[in-house]
Amino acid sequence: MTAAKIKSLTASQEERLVEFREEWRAIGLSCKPADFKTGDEIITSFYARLGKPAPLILHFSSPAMCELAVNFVFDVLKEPAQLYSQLGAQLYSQLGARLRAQLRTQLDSQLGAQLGSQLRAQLYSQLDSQLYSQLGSQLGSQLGSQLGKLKPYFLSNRWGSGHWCAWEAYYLFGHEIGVKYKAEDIALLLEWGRLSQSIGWWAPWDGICFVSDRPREVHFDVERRLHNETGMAVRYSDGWGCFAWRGTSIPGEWITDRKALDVKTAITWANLEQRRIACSDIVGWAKILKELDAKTIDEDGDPLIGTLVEVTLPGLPQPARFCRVLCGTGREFAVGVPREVNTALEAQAWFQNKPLKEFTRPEIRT
Amino acid sequence: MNTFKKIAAQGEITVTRIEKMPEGLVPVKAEHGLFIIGHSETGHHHVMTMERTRVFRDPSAPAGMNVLYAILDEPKELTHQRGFDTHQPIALQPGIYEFTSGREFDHYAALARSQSD
Repeated sequence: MTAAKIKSLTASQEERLVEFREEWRAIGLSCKPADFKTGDEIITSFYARLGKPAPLILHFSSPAMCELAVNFVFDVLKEPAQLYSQLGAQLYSQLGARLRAQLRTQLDSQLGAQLGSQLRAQLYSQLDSQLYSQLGSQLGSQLGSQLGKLKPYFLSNRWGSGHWCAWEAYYLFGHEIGVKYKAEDIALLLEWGRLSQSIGWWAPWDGICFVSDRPREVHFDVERRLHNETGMAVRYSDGWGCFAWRGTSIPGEWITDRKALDVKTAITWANLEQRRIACSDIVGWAKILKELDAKTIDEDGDPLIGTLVEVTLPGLPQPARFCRVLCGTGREFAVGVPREVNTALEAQAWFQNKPLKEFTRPEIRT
Repeated sequence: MNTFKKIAAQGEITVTRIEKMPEGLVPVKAEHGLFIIGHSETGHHHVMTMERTRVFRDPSAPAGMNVLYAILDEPKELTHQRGFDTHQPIALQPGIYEFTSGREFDHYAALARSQSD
């Protein structure tokens, strides 16, 4: 006889869900030194599950040091990466994706659809949005942007450990509320969970595995966006990490030497999102408009169309025009337009390369 | 869900429903199951899933602009990959669409460039 599906949580399970989620959030945000011994045991057991001999496991202080080390081993010692089969994909298919597919099937067959949605929203998504989308993703982008002549060996073969632990928490909570998994699946899932509690990022190759320590500091704002106004948002023990302002990576000198961020740099910074932070949050629009002697040329009345302003930029013979405009999320941007543009609406048409008479205000703007 | 008849905007992306595809377009490949409609340097792309969808790029788009076209054989959503300050998804009915990434003027370089975030 088929067992009845679990359709809802009891009151105590509802409480436990919150507690459980925060336990796993703490695992993902952990700044404790890595437990390399436990990590080595589990990684070695993963190699054994793939039929591989125990690898040489090397420990480093940060993902950046891991990347340097992998490049050193593969390039400087003239041992091309091709000699070492990259095990990340094999691990993914055999121990990761297959496990998740099996757990998913078992969970879905035992949980009501509504409860499954509740757990995905209140457990998986909440952890994933902070740990994977914020912490893991920003660090990955940072490392990728700093590679220079290095190859992204570690970066492209890495496992995120605690930063990628949302799926482990999701399936483990199912186990807590009574979902029955096959013995071998729950055993493997528990090992993944234990690994996430032990080490930082790691990357496996045939015969060799590089493992990073965890960060020593992580900082978020109240909305759980990566953020620190006085230092690095994520810092490892060797000083590597990243700076971030409300979830967006920014150059470190904007924090460490704020006076160096002058008005010209702020308003002409190429990346729009970083420019918005520089202008709105760090330098401040009031200072920018005052220093640049801003004049309003045209105000549309619709903040989503914006206000056309003219400013004097250092080193330019003629004034420059910008459209100050709100986006669909309510944030303010300043977007450059040619001097021939005379109204905010013309600016909007120019952004789209349309003559003014062909420009149509969007029905919705999100 | 945000719906529209003719024209909508999601951040710097303007979506226009059109009647027919222009000529001279270049097919765009999906990445990890998604078409990137608006690329973000900080990883917060505007994306659409790839099933029953074909996306093309206009190689003759003006300087600083990225213009894509898509044929949708089933309803889709244009979504923004950011967990905060997220531009809400926009529903797209089956049909033909033009996606224009806005441009801006770089006063020091005296040329147009794409609005990147």
